Amino acid sequence: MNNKIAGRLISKLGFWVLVLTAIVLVSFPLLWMALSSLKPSVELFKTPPAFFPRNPSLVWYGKAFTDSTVLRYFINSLIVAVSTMIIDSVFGTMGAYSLTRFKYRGRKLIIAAVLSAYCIPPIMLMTPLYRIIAGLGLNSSYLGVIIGHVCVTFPFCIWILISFFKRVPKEIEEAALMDGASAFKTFYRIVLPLCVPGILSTGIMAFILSWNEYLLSSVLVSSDTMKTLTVGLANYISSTEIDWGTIMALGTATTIPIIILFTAIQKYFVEGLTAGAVKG
Amino acid sequence: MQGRNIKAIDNLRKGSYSKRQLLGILFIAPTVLFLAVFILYPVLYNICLSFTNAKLMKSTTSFVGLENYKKLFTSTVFPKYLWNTVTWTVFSVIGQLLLGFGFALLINRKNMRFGTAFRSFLLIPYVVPAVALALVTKWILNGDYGIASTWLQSLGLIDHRQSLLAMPGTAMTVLIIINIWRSYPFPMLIYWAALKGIDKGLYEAAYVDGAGRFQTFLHITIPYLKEPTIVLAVLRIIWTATYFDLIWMVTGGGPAGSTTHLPIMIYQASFGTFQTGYASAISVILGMLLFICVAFYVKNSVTSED
Amino acid sequence: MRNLKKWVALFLTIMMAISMVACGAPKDGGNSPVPSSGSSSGDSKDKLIIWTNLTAEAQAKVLQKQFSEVANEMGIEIEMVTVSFNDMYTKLATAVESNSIPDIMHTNFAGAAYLHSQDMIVGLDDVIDSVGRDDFISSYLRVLTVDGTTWGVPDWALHTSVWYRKDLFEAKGLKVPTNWEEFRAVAEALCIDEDNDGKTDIYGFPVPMHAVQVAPQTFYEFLYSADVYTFDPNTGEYVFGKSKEKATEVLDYMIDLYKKVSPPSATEWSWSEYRNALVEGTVAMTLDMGAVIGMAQSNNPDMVDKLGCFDFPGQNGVKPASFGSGYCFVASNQGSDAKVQLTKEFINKLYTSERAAERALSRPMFAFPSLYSALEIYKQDESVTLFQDEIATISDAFENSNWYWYGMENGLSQMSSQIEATTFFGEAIQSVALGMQSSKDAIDYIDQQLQEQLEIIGN
Repeated sequence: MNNKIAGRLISKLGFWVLVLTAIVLVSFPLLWMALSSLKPSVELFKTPPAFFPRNPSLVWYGKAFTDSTVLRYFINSLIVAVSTMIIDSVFGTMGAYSLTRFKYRGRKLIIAAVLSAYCIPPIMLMTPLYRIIAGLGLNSSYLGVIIGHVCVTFPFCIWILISFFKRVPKEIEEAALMDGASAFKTFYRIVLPLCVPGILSTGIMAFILSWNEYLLSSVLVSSDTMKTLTVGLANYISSTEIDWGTIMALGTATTIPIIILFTAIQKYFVEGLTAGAVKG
Repeated sequence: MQGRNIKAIDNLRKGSYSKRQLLGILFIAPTVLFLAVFILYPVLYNICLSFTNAKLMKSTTSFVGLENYKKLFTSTVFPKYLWNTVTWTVFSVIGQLLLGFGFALLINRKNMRFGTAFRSFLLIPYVVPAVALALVTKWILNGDYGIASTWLQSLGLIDHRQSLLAMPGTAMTVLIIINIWRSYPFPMLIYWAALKGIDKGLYEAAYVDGAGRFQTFLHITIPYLKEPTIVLAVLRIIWTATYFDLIWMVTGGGPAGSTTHLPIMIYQASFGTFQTGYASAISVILGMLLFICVAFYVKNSVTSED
Repeated sequence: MRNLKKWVALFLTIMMAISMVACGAPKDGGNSPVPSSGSSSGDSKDKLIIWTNLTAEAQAKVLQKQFSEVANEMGIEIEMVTVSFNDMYTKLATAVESNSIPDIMHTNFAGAAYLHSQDMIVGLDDVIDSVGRDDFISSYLRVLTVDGTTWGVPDWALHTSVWYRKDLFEAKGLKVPTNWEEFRAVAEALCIDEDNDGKTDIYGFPVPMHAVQVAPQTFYEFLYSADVYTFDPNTGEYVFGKSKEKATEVLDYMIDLYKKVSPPSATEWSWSEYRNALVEGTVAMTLDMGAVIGMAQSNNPDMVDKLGCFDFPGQNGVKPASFGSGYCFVASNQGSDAKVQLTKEFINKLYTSERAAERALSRPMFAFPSLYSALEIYKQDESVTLFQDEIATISDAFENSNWYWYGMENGLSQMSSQIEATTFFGEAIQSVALGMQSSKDAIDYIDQQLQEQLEIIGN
């Protein structure tokens, strides 16, 4: 009996040790970034570095936010990511519904095209895409970047959405049609509500992918006021003088809001993704 | 009214043309249009370019046949970069699937105190901007002031004032580790969902038959996870192999080319030496390699429609 | 229902055709105006788009201020875009490809060389004459001149020297080295273990080899000091291939320095790392363009008066040439004649002595103004009062000795932008430093790559 209790205790202890390790591993880089941003120059360049700042100061934040461009970048990223999310979800939902519920010639080809589009390295799209977008005169508007981001996120989103729609049983639709509902009404009233969690989590994924995108944004934005956060921040690394304090402050200031935002909505994300998992 | 709908249902089953089809075609039109203009056109354009000597500068472009491909396959660096791509992709994917699975087991525990909070916490790396992560990685591993470097130096694991990012063997390892760090949450959620979906009755039956924990894990849990693992592996292999931002911002492909993978090679060819044709050839090869990886998946996915 | 299918197919085809035409048209049209936000060629105010590679805040602010002043004087609008150095060639190349380059570009000499090779810019001799040709330091103009035409108006230039800790030299009783042997001895003497724990606290001289631009910059300073060039400075003929033996010797010396007197992680060091190291006192000397002073003034003011500079010595004493570059304004030739005229007028107005001095002073000791009259104002500024000797050393080098930027030994050449945008120098040099390749193989590889670049640019 004693053995059993001891065994349980060890297993419980082991479990919490694992949890603790996970917490440390996940939080360390972020914590270190936040702590570094609070250290004045003297402490920042001390070897070996002390873990906690002795005289915490907000001097780097002051430096980072004296000019409001960072705020501008933040808003730009938000505009681009939200638009990408909306476009991906709306057209992705329509496309996925059509591909899973209708039969027409070329349908299989489209499915194959969507899946293969996902294999295309974004870097391959870069030059031709720039040419198209500059040709349309969109290279200094949000629309240009948004198109770029939709290009790299859309195939993935529609792929995920197809698997959600496949899981909605056809019988439900059949019942609705039987009751005399029109095709669009069936979609709008019956199928769509069932798929909302899936669409939401796909949208959130699109948002995150767009929020993080650097490669295409760096080329497609040709105006200072339209730069996204990734491009704006990356400028700080590449400029000839890396100002570590300011960079840590900017990194922290841009990471925290997105974490808060995500934590607030992650319920829907998890719900959608785990409602039945991604299947082939 | 009733009769018409019976016909519609019939059509839904058989999939023949009806007024209902209008909706389907209308719904797919934006996707097709978008794919054609912004993906198919660039891809075809790229494939065409790969047979020319096009450059990103004012110059005459002419057809050169397979010259670019020949140049690529005889290049001394291509095997090395291809190998880097494989290492980067394989280890990143295996790592994130394993870590994701491990964490899924952790959060799958019933009645865990602060379980929901812990789960939300584990999702955080998914949204940390890659730029911020790249910056903090460089800072933590800075040879002079980085905290991890200082620890490793005092333990004697690396030379005084050395950095893991400056050594060819370790730079790739570091990149793979941070890539795993930022991408495990997705596999974690998928595995967690799969674990939740396993019929509890199966376990009970197995325990009644006298099976141990390990055995049930081996014979019930693992087979159940086969399908999500394949899907995840395909998704992540493609995503990782074409992922450019992180490596570019942390090491830029160095030191001594030890972290240069094919996307960086493509970038160098198109914006370093401006050889658009050559860059297109490399991207065509990369795209084909990836396509082979998913071909069987696509085939299954399309044929399973019927 | 058949009709419906046909109708949809037709609609899609038309949409696709329209978008294809829309994408193709500007390319074929050739002379389409610069597409930019709200630039309608109608009766609205004229607007100039200006790109600069100066992302450093202090510099960008001064530029923005001066551009707005001049725009007000002329009654036009401007939009200034800062393009980070890392993205520069990506952006320039895509812009050239789609004929959407800015009206004015404020860039380094290599960027000017690239735009010149793409036939995208106009000659600016008339602007230089109107500012006063004699007021320009002539070596600055020489760099931007090809076949008698000057393609950019030089703004300021920078020069590589050895910046060092005067206090440590004094404490160790060291003298300024006059050849490579002496330099190595000095660097070795400056490797200091302050607390006697067996670990070097101050390294003599870091050899930074970051693959993006820094490796070739470091290497070329050594090459020029040993009389090795990419092109013959007089004839423009490709000569690197002929001097491979010498180049290998140079590389061996550089790697020897790395192994003996440099922090090991310097293989991945870029500008900010080595400057920071000197400012924070963990190295005793660096090869730098003087930017270390600005950094010391803001991060560690105690260090400022301990720093001085000397010219990196020639291999055997006499120094054939050194490494330097600068920034200039170039003007697009893509607009109408009236637009080009407007652009030239705009650039002209930026060249009062005061404005030229102010721009250079936004990065003191790094940027040296191109006008003699501006240099006089520059010297009076309080941010550089401590450095009169250093200013004399550097401006003497500008006026009286040869200085080149990689690949531009014989004037503007696209080779410089090819070197700048690629990483093969870094890769080759790093792999020697890391013991993965012999220096001879590395030089062979560099030569082979340089020749490939030559073929690409069709020289």
